[in-house]
Amino acid sequence: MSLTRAFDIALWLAGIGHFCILGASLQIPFRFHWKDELAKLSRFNRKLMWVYSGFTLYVIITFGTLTLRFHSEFLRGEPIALGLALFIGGFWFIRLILDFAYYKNADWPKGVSFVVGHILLDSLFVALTVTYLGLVIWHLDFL
Amino acid sequence: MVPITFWLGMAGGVQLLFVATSFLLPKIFNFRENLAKVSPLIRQIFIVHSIYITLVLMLFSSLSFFFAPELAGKSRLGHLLCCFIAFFWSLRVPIQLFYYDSKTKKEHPVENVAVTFALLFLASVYIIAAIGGRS
Repeated sequence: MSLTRAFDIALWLAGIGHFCILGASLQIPFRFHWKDELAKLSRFNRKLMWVYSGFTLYVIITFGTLTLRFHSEFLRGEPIALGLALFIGGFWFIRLILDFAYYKNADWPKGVSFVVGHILLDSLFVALTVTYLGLVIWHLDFL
Repeated sequence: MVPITFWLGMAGGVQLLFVATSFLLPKIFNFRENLAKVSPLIRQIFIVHSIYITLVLMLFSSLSFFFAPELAGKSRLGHLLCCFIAFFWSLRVPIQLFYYDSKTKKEHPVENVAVTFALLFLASVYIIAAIGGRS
């Protein structure tokens, strides 16, 4: 399979992957009992948490939508698409680093569903990082 | 008439100011003391989300500096991205005005006014760029 075909498929999957992360993210407040937990914060910090989370979801929707809608621009390596790909790849790479270096396994809720969910999410972060940063590296080779 | 690309560059600068300010927020709003009350995972999510938002502001700022013509309509991707950024800041204005509690805003009146005007500026610039880029 040629690299063009590989990135063609990978970009479609990356776009869809963002909406999978969205699906998982929407479950977090319920599964991690945010209502009880966030009640312990000051009123301002509680609101800040909701605003941060809401905007983070919005950004994930943006990344997914732009990848699917402008799939061919990403594949062709349009400069703004490459700039965006570099950022999205870096964004998920940082997320991955934080997961291994900052989040602690012991802090995660116990249960098979959480372990499976965590593994699936990490795999998706790796796939997104490789797809977007790989795309940038691939196009830079042609310069 | 000043071109919209100039204002997009200015918007990039304002967003860099927000990035700089975000490093002061933990101290101003006692993050350490507050977050000590919640479970470690919630604390970690809060901090990671705040890092995310700072990164996103750096993205918006970089795009405005380096891809202003594209955001203003030179590329279709840039135009849609501009629409997303416009919606982002337009959403942030009512949150500042009506969602964040008035007690905290009264404690920081100058900062509140400055942030509100900055948000209005950002929303206006990206809305105008998005509308202009459609034609």
